[in-house]
Amino acid sequence: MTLKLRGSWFWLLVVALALAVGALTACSDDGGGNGGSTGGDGLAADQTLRIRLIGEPTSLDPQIAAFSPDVGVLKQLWRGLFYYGDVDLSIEPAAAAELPTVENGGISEDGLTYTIKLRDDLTWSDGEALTAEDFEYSLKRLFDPAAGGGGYYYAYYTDIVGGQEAVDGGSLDDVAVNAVDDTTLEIKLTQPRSTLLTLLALWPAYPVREDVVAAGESWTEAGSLVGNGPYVLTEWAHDDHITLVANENYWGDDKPILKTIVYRIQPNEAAALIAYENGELDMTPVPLTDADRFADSAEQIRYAQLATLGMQFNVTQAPFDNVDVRRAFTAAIDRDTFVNDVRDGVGQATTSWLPPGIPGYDPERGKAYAFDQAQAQQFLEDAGFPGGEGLPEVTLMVGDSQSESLSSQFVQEQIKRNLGVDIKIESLEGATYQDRFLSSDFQVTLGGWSADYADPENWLPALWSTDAGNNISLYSNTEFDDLMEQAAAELDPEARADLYVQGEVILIDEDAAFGPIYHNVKNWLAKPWVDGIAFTEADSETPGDWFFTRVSIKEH
Amino acid sequence: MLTYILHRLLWLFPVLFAVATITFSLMHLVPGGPWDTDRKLPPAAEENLNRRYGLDKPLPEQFADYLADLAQGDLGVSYRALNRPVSDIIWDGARVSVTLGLLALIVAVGLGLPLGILAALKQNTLVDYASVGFVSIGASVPSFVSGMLLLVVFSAELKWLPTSGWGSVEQAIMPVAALSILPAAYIARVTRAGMLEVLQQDYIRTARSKGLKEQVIVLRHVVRNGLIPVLTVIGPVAAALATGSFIVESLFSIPGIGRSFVVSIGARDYGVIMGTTLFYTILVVMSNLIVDILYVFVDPRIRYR
Repeated sequence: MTLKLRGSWFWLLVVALALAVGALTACSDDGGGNGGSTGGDGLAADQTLRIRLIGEPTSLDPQIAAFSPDVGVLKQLWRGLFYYGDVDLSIEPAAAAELPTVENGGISEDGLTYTIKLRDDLTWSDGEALTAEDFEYSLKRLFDPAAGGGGYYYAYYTDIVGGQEAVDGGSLDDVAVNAVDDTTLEIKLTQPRSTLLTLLALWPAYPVREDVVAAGESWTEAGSLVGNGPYVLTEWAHDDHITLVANENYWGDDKPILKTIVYRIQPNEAAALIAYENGELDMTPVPLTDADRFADSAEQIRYAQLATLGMQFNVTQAPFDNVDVRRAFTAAIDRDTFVNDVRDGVGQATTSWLPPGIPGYDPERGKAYAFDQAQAQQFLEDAGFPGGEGLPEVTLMVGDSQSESLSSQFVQEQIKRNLGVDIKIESLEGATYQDRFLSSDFQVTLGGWSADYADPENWLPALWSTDAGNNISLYSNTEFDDLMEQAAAELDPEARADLYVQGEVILIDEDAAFGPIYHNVKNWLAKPWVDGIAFTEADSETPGDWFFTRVSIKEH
Repeated sequence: MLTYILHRLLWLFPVLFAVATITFSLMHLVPGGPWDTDRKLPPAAEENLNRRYGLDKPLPEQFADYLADLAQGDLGVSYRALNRPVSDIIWDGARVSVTLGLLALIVAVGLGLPLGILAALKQNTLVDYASVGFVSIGASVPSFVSGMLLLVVFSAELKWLPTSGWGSVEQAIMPVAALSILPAAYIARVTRAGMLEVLQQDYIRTARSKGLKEQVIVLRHVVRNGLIPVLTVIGPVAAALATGSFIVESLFSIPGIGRSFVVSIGARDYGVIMGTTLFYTILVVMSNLIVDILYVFVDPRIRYR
């Protein structure tokens, strides 16, 4: 509906008045209570889960989506070729009939050709059959400049032959993804990629149907969107709520128990908490300021996230181009006090870059730069700035959120106390901060990383290789780069893991390229009647949303 | 009168052009762009996006393109809510915000007018003091404080009302209350002052001495003349209610235009920033025009030609 701007004020007022009257007489029809009646088996009659969503999704188009509210909803609407088998994040077939291996001929000896067999009972949510051609279309679409080629995530898939060329304006026909027949998909790579199956389990590789997408840019609205997952989108009231209901045509073995999932879009955590306490939500995060109040609550869910936060240096800018200055700053931060005082105990103090849950994680990593005042001062002296004398002025750049403000003040105080150095804090408005951050226009900031998938590849080469897209720190070490290249092509899991460990040793133990402070812990509340939440370290925003099909609402 | 209205309406276009120019310049002057998030967009993807949305062209050309599209009623698409037409976003948001604003205006006038009139008629009595007390408190408590108080009392403690959302009567009560307290106090104050001034006029004394009934004096002379200053403020109040409700909208998670405006600025969502600013401009100009027209009916001394 297009709004005519000219001369329509009167009409607008009339409509608004009518709406005002309408709003006064209308009755609420969303959400509702979960009811107390029985549905047998101890399950409530109304199988509705109501969750807080952090914001309006930017897009529900799998090839374009990039942000946590988008992905949380997408996971319910689609199933890719593979999926996480359980909370251990093992990769299992979903739309694929089996895991391709070298033994079963699914992966060629040289690791360059994948032949993936599909289940023959795949259907779209509208009942139409889903075939290998649909996957071919979707994976090519990931490189289409008008779709995935304008997004954040295609870059993870550019080992597919012809992918990057298509993004740069080449032909999509040259992308080496081919449907051999209805149930066989063939993918060719330019170099072996041991994480390909994991990547094919992620949302950018979800299938979309050509005729649905062709309907125009509003195809992701409720009523138009067609997926193949356990739920279908029935309502998207923009900026207010999203309603999903169980997909009657779902072919997967993980049939959902919940009939309805309602996402309430509420960016404000404090308001979401009141809604939870008022019985409008079944699950919500605990704001940091309320962590104390719920520390002993039985409704609390705490789970480690694959995330590391700390001091991110620009290693090309003085004084952080000096490894000893980085060591001194890192050793000057009392992480335990930080977690207890600033984070109210929600978090895990660390000296490591890789978080627990990523293969290769070692709690001993970076121990040489654990909090130690005397050692920190020694490092500063080694750097040529005894007692901070002669040290160039340091500015810590942060965003303007409350938590960043608290964290930066803590760091400032620690550096003053333990190194005797005064640093400045520069607090910037969100987008201004991002702009400066992405262009590496800072000395030091509070940064870090949270995983897209549970593999060191997503933690080391993705950020620290010399030409990596997310190498904001401008770190460059040829020895590290060589190890990362070897690891990318290494198909033997153990040898590969070892290469990444060597890489992290260089990055952290030798170069102190990042000053780790803590691994993030998510802190949520769930009503006692929400049963079967299976959260994993890979949950981005909402705990357990990889396995919502296991969740049910108990009688209450 | 008709020529006056036409004249005013024609003036809308230069005003819109000026606002568009200023907004466009400021928007591109601030650092950051629509694709800046905590992850870096691959350079090839950024090029593709910029080309697709015309952001690779020089700014004057972008502005000319924007104006050309605008002339055809095309406000472009959002980058945050990817590819949603801006006109849809404004329309959806404005429906909610204008409803909320009108309800608040009705409550504010319905509360502020009688309070002000009563206080003036019973000057220096308990009624007056109570009214002045309400005005002082109401005018000094910002809506996010009163809104939060309402939330804590009626949702968190008493559990009577839902905290957020939009669509039912229950959901409207608290935001309307939070939004209307301040303008109600403002209107009450202006009404009281206006009435008191009229009450001291010679013609009121004349009316009294001529033996007119108090009711007639109040209704026909005092209220009618005392309301002129009130009318002056209702225009800006109405515009402020329709546009300035973003705090209340954020607090109660109401999908209104104010909230989407604030979000769009943070996200450098150029199309939405431009469209919403122009929409607000029209709203303010129109509400002022309506008030100016209403003057004619209340105050016969005013004539437009």
